[in-house]
Amino acid sequence: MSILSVQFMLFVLVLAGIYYIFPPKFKPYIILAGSVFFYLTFDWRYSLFLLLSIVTTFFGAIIISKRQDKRSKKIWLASVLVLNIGLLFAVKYLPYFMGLVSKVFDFQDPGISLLVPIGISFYTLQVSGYCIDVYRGKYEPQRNIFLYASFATFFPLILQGPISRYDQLSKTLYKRERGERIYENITYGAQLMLWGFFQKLVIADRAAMIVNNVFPDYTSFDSFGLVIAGLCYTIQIYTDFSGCVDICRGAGQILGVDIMENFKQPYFSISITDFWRRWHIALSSWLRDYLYIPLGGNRKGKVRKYINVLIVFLVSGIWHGVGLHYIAWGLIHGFYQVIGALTMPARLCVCKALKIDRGRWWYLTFQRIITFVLVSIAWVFFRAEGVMMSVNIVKNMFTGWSTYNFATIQDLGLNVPDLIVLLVAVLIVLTISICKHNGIRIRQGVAAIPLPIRWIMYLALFFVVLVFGIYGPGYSGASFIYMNF
Amino acid sequence: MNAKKILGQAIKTVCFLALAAAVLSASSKVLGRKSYEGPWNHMAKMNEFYSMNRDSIDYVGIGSSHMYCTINPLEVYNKSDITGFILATQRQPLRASYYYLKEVFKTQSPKVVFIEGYMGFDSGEEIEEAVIYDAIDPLKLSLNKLFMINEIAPEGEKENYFFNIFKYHTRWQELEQEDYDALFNPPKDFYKGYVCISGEEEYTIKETDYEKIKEKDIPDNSLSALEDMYKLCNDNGAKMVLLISAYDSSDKTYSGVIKSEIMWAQEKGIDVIDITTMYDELNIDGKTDFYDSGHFDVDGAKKVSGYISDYLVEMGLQKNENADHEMWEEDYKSYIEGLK
Repeated sequence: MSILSVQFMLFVLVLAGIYYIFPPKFKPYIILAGSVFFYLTFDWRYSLFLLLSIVTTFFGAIIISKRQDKRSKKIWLASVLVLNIGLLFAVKYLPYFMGLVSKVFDFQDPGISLLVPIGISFYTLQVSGYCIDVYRGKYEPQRNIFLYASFATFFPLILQGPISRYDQLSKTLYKRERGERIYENITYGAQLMLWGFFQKLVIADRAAMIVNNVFPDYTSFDSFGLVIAGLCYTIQIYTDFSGCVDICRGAGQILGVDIMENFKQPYFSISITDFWRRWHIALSSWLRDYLYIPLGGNRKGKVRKYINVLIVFLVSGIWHGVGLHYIAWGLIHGFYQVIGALTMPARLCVCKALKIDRGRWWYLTFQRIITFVLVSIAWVFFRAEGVMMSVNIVKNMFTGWSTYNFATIQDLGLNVPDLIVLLVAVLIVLTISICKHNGIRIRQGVAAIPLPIRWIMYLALFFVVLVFGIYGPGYSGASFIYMNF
Repeated sequence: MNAKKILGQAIKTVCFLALAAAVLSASSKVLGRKSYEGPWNHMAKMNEFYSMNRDSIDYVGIGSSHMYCTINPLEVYNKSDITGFILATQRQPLRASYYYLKEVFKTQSPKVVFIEGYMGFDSGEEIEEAVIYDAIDPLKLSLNKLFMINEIAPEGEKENYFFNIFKYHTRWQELEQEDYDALFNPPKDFYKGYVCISGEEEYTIKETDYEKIKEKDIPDNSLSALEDMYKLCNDNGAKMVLLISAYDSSDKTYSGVIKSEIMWAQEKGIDVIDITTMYDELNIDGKTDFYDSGHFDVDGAKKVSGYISDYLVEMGLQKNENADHEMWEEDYKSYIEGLK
């Protein structure tokens, strides 16, 4: 069941209806039942992997908490992690890895094909984080397997996160109280879902039309076309991910469950380090807490710190996808930060010499532009289908400038009306982002607007998504011409 | 939380949802595909049907293009004052015809129902998308429409037919005046479902000789549709008539099944009017009466309609008191004007 489908919306509504009708003590179990049903709408075999993860981490955490000596705790933790992360690696990366090895050592690719359960990358990290937290004594393990399963399977999170922490999610997932703010939950949740649909369907999928047209055939486009396509991908990946997360957060909100924000205006970052505090916050904080800090973080000298950063971003690249270009993307971000740290003293010297106040708005804007460009260049590696293709695209972005006729911008894949819609929609998101960046609380601000105007805004957004969203089977007049009468 | 607050929230929710439904409905009306070129405007034809006085129609013709090119209700009316309507769409599957018949009986009490049997050969397994939209879109939203969508729309795509804006919303770049008119001033046409077309080609026509045709099994879904329509007619006091209009009877894809349909009808005691065996009787001329080899033009339809009119009179049908005869007279004049 796609989160973009009518069926998903009906599912959330029906589940909310059941959820609010029953007494609060049934809440987590209703959510569990709904989550299991949701997951089973995909291939039923996926649920076997999920069940294995739940059982091993549930019992593993209890055993870890009961063990007294640290060595024994460590062994149990390692076993649980090796099993779960090993399973993730096996199903997701083994076929690709075997293909690579066969090329390097010149033997026939065994052609392994494995079932890759949907959401395995997300829920594996989520339950692994839980076990590590229990090992660290952060909280006691959950003793009720059904309650634990409702955390591990929570349907808004299972497909694409955000990867949630047990102590944060359980606060509202297990909350049992009468007199919940049902009306506020449903209205706020619906608004968030609508905003998510706007980002995903009006912006991301529209920008994708240029990206999907240009990237596979990049040699046919000059620098202008490639830059526009690169920019569109930067917009696409943010609004796609953010939009889908907002749809999921909205679904959670409808059920009274708070899900963390995963993005904080990432394209306003003033450095790559800042970017990773604002982009996919759930993953970057997971990597920080469960990989970077255990590796030593920045406590073991500069060289070790840089190595740790590179390791973390190597892992991030691997986690994001199967392919060397994902690894390249991750390492690029790692190197950005290492180079940024290495050059920081020199940059500070230059600013001091030139008497530049690094807090001034123009300097911050300059930093934001540089960061945006660096991130966008890295995104090329994320989107392109190979490292060499990525390198060539980036190279051609700088070396292929010619006299470009702006009137032929439509050759990139969108006609003028669609381009106008894209630009206006991006401006809307930009405006909202600027407001949030400046501390304006959008939801509260909107709630303070008089009701008729608020409703006009919601209905207008609904109309925009309905009409301008990229979805559905598409209409072509030609297919309706009854040639045979 | 007090009851007053809950009631207030409930009222707000209902009002907002009603407004959202209005936005959805209005957008669907504007963005929905309206028509093919003029004569084939099924939306306009159904709008006309819905505007007819209750119980003012005494016969209907349901089926595919072979129906809407065959019976011209204005010609029938001109000859005998008997009012009727054609509810046919291109390649309309018989299962869809069943739901059209149900739609008819909501507001009308026809005494005779002509079911055109050409599409009986269709097993329903691979219906073209355009055919399904063409059949479903013109109907008003109702339970009947929902059941129709559930039955004939492909699995996994039913919501695109229920909310056809999912299909048509990309038309926002090609909207014209008729799209906006659909919101407050939906178009109608006066042909009463008939598609008025002229032909210039000449065809060699030959009456069907069923002795030379081997019957083929009627596909299950078509047979069940015929059975269901027969039962529906009986339940509503209407006489079902199987109409076979012009088609290429040398093509065994159709002729074998049509023969089986005729045999089925005869077993049930259903009248059969097979135009393909009556070309001489009706003085059908291949040089002047066809739009193409399978469809009559306006001249051919006039001849067939004359026969249908006589048939209806024989069945005892008369002028309907509920019909707006002034409108019918005006519409006939408009039709004649349009032929000039």
